[in-house]
Amino acid sequence: MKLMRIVSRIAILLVVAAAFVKLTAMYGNSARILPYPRFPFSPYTPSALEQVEMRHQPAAPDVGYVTDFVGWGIWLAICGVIGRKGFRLRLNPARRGERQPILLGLQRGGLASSAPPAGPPPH
Amino acid sequence: MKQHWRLKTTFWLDIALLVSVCALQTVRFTGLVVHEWLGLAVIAMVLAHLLFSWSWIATQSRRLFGRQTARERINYVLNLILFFFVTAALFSGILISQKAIPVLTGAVVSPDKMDMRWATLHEEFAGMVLILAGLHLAINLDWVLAAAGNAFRRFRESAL
Repeated sequence: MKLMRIVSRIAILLVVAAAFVKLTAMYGNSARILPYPRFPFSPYTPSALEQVEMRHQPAAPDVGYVTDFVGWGIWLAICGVIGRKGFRLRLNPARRGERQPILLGLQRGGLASSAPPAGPPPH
Repeated sequence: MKQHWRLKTTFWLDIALLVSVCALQTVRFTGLVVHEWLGLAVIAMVLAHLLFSWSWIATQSRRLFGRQTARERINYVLNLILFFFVTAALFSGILISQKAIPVLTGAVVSPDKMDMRWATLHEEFAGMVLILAGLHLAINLDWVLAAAGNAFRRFRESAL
């Protein structure tokens, strides 16, 4: 019963993925890829040098490029921070108290009982 | 105990996915062989990730055209777009594969016959996946921090 449930869920996910593959294939076969970017993130034809590089990627790993990996990690973190702070993305709305200013209790009588007096003691 | 196992598995699976998404961006670091096999492994990881989140997916899908807050709708659409771009990146990657898919299918592939159109699109899709993964992380950050706290607290307790 549990196995059937898992299999049916996988089947649903695969159907959705198949629809996305179909859409991607339609886009890939019809998109005009210009020799220059029209706007940020728009695909453009790589230069001859880039094409050679893309065709002949090294098969073996090179630990010297770990900085690239770290750089992409930082880029992902930046996207996360932009999403969190800029777009306020989260599963649930922020708790009411989360965005309240911190009360320092500096108003009259707030810390009067615990804080020492600022000036010399009255005589 | 079962809940803890599930939480721990989901947490480490998500960490593995996050590291994989970053590692897949740099072919020179992983090498083409690891890049392609890791890409194929990501298919299984994404499926497992979605199965673990099934209750959320099912609830939000049922509510999509009904009563739903703007936040829930935006989160749902963002996750759907992320799934689309992950699928697109994996599909385009399979189309230009030189190492992993030829091993599985027995086909002979020449790098010089690689379809540059799909190679270009693969890079674009992968870039979008990274951006959307960052936004996905932003949405679920509270859960990730809570799960990390839980996982490491139990780790510390068992070490003492």
